Amino acid sequence: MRYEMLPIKQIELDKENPRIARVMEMYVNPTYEEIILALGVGETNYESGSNVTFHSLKESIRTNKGIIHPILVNKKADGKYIAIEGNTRLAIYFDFHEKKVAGNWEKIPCIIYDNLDEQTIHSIRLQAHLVGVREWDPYSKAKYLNLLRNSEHLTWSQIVDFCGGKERENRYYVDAYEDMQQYYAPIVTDEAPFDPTRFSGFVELQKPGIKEALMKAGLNLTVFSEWLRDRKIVRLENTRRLPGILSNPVFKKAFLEYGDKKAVTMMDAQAMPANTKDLSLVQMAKVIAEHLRKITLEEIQRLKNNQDSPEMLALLDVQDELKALMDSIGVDK
Amino acid sequence: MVESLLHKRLVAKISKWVQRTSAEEIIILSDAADSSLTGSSPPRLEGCIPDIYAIGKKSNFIFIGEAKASQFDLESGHSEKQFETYLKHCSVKQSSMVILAVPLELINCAKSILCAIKKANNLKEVSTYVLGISDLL
Repeated sequence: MRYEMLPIKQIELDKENPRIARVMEMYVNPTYEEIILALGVGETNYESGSNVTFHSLKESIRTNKGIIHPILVNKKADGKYIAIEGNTRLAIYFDFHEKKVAGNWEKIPCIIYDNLDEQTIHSIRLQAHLVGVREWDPYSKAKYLNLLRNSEHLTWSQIVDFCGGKERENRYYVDAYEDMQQYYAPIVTDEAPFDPTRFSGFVELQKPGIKEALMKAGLNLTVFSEWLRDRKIVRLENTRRLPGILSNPVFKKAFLEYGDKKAVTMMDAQAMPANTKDLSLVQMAKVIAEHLRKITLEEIQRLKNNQDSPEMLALLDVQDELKALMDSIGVDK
Repeated sequence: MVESLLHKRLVAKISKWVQRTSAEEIIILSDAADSSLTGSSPPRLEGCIPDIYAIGKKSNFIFIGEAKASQFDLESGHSEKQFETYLKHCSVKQSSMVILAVPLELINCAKSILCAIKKANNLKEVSTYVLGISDLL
């Protein structure tokens, strides 16, 4: 195993790569362009959602003028170099080189293995794509974003280029980090110490209407922090339900006495039409799936333009609940 | 599978901690398959079965140990009921204690949960302990 800068033209994309294999099943002899398409390199519709991660990777490579982690290459007995891990990054180099993007894209950093057997290649692919690297938890990510923004004085645009994501999301993280330091950190105790898992509650707090609802109810961010510390709010996503809870005396009383779960259950029960209350989970799931299949482009556009609408909050609620259930069952997708 | 292995490791850590901490000889009841303990199951307490149930041979104090391998499990309604039940059970025996073992990043979360349940149920006098970094390494 050795490190080398290899000319990209000497390296072949791995046709056994699961992402490329998709295309291999569709075409007899896929062209280079079709393989590139399969890796998402040619996509320009970055706002479509599914391609945001890829776009972040591409922009990060462009900004850094290269990759940080070398790709893994297998030198076969016949002298051919095959990229066994890092095909997307290699394809981005190809793309930048072809489009004459500023920078040196002719050579790419590689770890070269000699004539690996199939089993070792599988093991490397599995570790890279199924196990993967461990993402930072939200609090750690926010701490780092805060350092970049407030100590290194990077612009939001630079932060997005380096770290990916959307500007608004990164702003929420930095503002949430500051609120947590200012209001939550001073009130922690030995028995209820600083708990970074409460951080997402502060991210929710940044969304439109939440702080206003607290102020309107005569409350402040220290009280909100106490709710998080004392687990009055257990499900952090319920923070976004606070405007509805605090504006209704019955829900507010239930919340202050029993916590978020009770108040949200009461709110949802009131909002639900009488004839749907007796539906089983399966029946309800089918109804939701059917509704989602029928959703029109106009409705999608309307939701996209108003991401803090009650409809979006309800959909986010379903998404959170479903994800939590799937996580507990052990289903990732 | 990973979570289940982690759970087993955490239960073993509680067991070690209980044996190391107890000032007198104890009987440990655990369902852990690799347990070198008595082999008897812990008792069912209001529908909840703890991972570890230990009794002091002389003074009859009780140690109840519970392991939670994920945040989802730690914060679930079922866990809340378990912790409340175990705290109430320990409140009637002097020097008894509820012990929790969780992954490192959830230690403070676990402490906050126990603190909130104790506060809500007037059980502040019951001793609790969340295994710390040194206990888990």
